[in-house]
Amino acid sequence: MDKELRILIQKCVEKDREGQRELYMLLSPVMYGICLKYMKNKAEADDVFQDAFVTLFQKINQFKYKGSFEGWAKRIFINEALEVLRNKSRRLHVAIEDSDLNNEIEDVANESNTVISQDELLKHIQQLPDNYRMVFNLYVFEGCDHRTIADKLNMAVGTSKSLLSRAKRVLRSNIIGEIKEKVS
Amino acid sequence: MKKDNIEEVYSELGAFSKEPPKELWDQIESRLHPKKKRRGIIWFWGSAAAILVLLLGYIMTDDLMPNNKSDIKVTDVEHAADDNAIDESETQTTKIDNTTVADDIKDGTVPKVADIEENSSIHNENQKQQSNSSELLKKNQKEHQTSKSIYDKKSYKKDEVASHNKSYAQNIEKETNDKANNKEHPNLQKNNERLVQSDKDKVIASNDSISKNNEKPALDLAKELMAAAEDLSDSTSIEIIPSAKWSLEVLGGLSNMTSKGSIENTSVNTATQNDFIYALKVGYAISDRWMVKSGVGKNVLGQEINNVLYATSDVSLSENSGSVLVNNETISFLFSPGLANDFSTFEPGVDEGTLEQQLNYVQVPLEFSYALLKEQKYTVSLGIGGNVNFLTDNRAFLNGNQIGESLGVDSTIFGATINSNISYEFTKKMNLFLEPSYNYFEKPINTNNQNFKNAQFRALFGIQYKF
Repeated sequence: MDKELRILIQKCVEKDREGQRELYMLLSPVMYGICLKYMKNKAEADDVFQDAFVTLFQKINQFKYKGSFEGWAKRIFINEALEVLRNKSRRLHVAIEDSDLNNEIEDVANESNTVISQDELLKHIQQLPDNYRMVFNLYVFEGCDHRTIADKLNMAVGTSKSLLSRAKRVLRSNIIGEIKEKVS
Repeated sequence: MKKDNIEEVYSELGAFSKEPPKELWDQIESRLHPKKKRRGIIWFWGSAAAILVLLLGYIMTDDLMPNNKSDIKVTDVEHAADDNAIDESETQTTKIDNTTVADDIKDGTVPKVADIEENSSIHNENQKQQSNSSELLKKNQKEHQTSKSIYDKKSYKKDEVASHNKSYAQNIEKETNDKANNKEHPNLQKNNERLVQSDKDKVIASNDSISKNNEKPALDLAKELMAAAEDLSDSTSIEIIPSAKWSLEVLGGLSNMTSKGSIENTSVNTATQNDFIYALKVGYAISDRWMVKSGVGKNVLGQEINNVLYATSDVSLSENSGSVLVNNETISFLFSPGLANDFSTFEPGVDEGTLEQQLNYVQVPLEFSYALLKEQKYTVSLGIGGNVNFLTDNRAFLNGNQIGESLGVDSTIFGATINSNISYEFTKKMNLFLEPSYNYFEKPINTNNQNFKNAQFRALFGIQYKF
């Protein structure tokens, strides 16, 4: 960790307003990206982003200068997002609808070179059901194994595997659909 | 699309980042620093602490303050001209106080308002200049960081490609060696060739993948890895900036003293006294909120007794009829109600005047303070403690003329203090603060003839340097 970042963290520990702004400028693009990947839409992402940043500044004195600060900050944002999603699923008892998973997946390997923008990829993730999205993000972006995911989300390892598999199928199907649309 | 290609497609989003809307920072900042509330809290706690000290002081002083009316009855019970005399005396005292302050200003002891304003404006200008240069410095540092980051990324890619090329070179060498061996073992030659070809393909595929990665600006894997490596090396040399434990305080200000005294068990009519006092204290932070302080300072005690009757040795008083309060045997003070009755009218050689007993001390305090409120710039603390006072000077004045030393003065006395401290962080190392306090001292003079107790309000202004 470079000295400047350490000084910046120390300023935030002392609740220095300018220091907080500088750290925000440094971290906000990556952290906002995480929020967008985990939440269903921009409004939800904005809420999680704000709450997580406030938590980060409140808990920054707990950072022990061991390991990556960015990694520490990412964990706060991911945990905040997961907490919101868990509460939401508890509240709404959302049933997982598999109907759209039964579509036959076509082999369009030749079309994989068609350009899909990051925003489009993001849109497909956001369209996933919450459970799918959580498992998919933790597995693909955070590199968690199924045991870790199962512990984090309080589910069986088998459920985690199943949700990942379904998430991939939905994404594959949707992306293929989009590619076809573009080609046609 | 193959089954697991979806992970590959989405790996591009691994380091996905996007600028958040600008208004989000405003909302976060307002949650971190609720402006009005914060200021409100400071004033609330500051006022509460000050009121508490003043209230305690008032309660205790009220108990100490002599009842002027009863005193007048005792000392001046038979004198018709008393009212005029008291008025004159009070007017004189007020004049003396005002003159003292005016003299201080003339002498330069008290800084003029114009000087303070001038100094303040110079200081503000300096701060602005410092702020500008600080911004320029930050800008340069950011530019330097950006170029360093780009350079690091390029270096990392180069290293990775070099590593793969090295691996490829090793494979070529292996192939040559294998060929030589295969001359002796022709049956293995075909298998070896196939394996080497497979390795070649892998290396080429890997190089292609790296080239692809170079084209993706969004991916910042190298940066992540570099950061992780840097963290590992840093973990052994972590340098946490410690907060200052020690502090040095210079304080100065006014003390307002009241006393409750009696002479020959008769209450006397005393007046408040104002003096300039100062101190130097060293503090040590025991924890985040507790601090212990000690040091050395000047303290002034004593009392001013109005309307005392005194007789010179010219008057033929019977033996033991007067009180000897100072080491000047030519003057006796008349306080016994019986004696006062005897002198219902001024006899020749008996006069009325003001006796002032002034005692100077070196004070050594020991105080504990607790920070009730710690904000970014303001701190409000409440302190309690005791002090030892060593007598350095003892003088008695009658109507402004020194007549000797007071008798029965203890050379060492003890006191107790309660104070509040409202400090403002002027710079990282320096605080400015205001410290109102209430102090109580037990019996600076304690003889059969006379005793009194002092209560003292202090309003001190100071500078604290942290190290």
